[in-house]
Amino acid sequence: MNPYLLSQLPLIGGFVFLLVLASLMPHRKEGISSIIAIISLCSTAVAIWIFLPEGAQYFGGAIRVTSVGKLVAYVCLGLTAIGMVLSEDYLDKVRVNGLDWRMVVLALALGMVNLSLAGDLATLFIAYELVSIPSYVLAGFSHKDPRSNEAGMKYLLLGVFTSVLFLLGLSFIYGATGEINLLAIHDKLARAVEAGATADLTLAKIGLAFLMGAVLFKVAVAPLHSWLPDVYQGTNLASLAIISSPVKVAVFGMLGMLLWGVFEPLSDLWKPVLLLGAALSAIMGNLQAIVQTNIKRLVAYSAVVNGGFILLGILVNSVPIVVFYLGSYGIMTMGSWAALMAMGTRHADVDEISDLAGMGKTHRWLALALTVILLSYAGIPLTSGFAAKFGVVLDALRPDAGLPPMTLWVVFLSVCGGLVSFYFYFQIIRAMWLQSAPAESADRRASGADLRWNYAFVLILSVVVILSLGMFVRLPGM
Amino acid sequence: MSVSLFNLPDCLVLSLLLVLIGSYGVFRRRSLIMILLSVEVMLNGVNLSLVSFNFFRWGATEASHYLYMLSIGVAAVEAAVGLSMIIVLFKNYNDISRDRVAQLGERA
Repeated sequence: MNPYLLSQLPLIGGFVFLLVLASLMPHRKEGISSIIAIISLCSTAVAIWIFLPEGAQYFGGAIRVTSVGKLVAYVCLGLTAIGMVLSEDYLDKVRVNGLDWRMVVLALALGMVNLSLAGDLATLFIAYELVSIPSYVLAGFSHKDPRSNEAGMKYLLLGVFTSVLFLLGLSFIYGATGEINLLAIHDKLARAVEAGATADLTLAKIGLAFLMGAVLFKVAVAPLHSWLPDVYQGTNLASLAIISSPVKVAVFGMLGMLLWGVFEPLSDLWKPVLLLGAALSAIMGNLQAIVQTNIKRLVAYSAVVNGGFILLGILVNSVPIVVFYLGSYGIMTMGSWAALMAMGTRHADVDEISDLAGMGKTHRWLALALTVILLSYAGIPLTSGFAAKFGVVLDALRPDAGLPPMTLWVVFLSVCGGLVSFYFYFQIIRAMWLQSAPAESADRRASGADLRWNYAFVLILSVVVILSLGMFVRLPGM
Repeated sequence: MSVSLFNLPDCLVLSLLLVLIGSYGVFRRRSLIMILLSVEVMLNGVNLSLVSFNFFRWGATEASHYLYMLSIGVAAVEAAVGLSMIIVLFKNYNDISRDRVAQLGERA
């Protein structure tokens, strides 16, 4: 059997099994579906590791295995599995059918894996849609909650609009080169740049502009980020964990692989665009985050800021640092959602920052874990957030990098933005440790003793990963 | 090529025009269903550009036909998901106008 199909079999098998389970036993307890989903995610990672050697091509180049693609796929699958562990009983609380939810997430995981293994435009487009459409469904999954409906609808309309632009970009790139295989496109573009074929290059540049517009919109880089806080605010935390962490990693990974590989000949177009995106994200993300009182919106703006840093990393062509940044950002985000899920009451989630007041007294360990995660977001030394940002900045300061002239200023701006971001992260920390809880809310909260095992597991995992990545990993160039 | 009525630039202009008309609809229409329809118009514009690139420039291969077929399929999926979301939305809001569906945002 084809090794590629073999490596996708666990995901597809898990999906089909859940489908059969859902139709045979609609009212069964859902514990088994969670275990099956986690097993199929993990065994897909193992299967990719075993069956797909680097550099292999399948189906005439439609699937191309690269080392970066494999790494991104592992990170995505791992984060999705963590999200699955997190969702365990939160889904009951928000009255979501867990079986259906897990099926959608498995389909999404299939899309993410294929996005990082895509070798031609058709696979790329299908995988991109297979990531996008389940994300819309996840955003609107709590269908009795009007806010979730609105978030899903907003995400869907904007997402569909951008996937049309994505396809338009692919169409122009096809029109310029006449190829759909990514390697062949790269060769043709390189030859066109050498020969100075202006007409073809203009078409390809228009295509790349549409494509980048669509992808930057999808990953919510300023100034295309205005939809993100609304979607975060309306979505339930379990779906949000998936949308905000593995999906982000997959799409950023795809952007990086496309720009480093296929569109490397056109780097005089995309480098300034990335620079502009990074600069605007540092300014707008930080400034808009300062005034937020809703904690999900705050995390959304911090996602914009981090997106700007990842763009800088893509700009300076530092593959290991971008993958490191994506992994560290993904695990930090997972950890923060785990803490928020655990801090919620039985009936309501933590919504405003003021809801966290007094957590340092009632839930000491939870508050401590969230503090570590927030410090990592802010980029305090000894955390992975610091190591990732430091790596990006160091790489951008290399003298021989061949970067556009304004890069230094943008790096400076991003670092200053990091200083501003201390303010709003420390607002949360201050609320937890220095403010006391209003009297009537203290007794509504579950006490620290009945912390669910899955939240504790994810929190401990993310804190350990954040600290160990921050202290022990030596990135190249450090 | 025996067809001389159209050429590549004409077809591209037509397809971009369709995309622009569609995006005007996406941003100006009130009803969510009309917005979904506008997206379909945009998608058809893109399909036209795919087919015309293939017909006028790269007729020897049929690579873009795959993309074209896929995009038709994806359009159907998007419409299905969009319409089901609109139905759920209607149950909660009793309305599918874009202006009424606006609970999220900055707290004033």
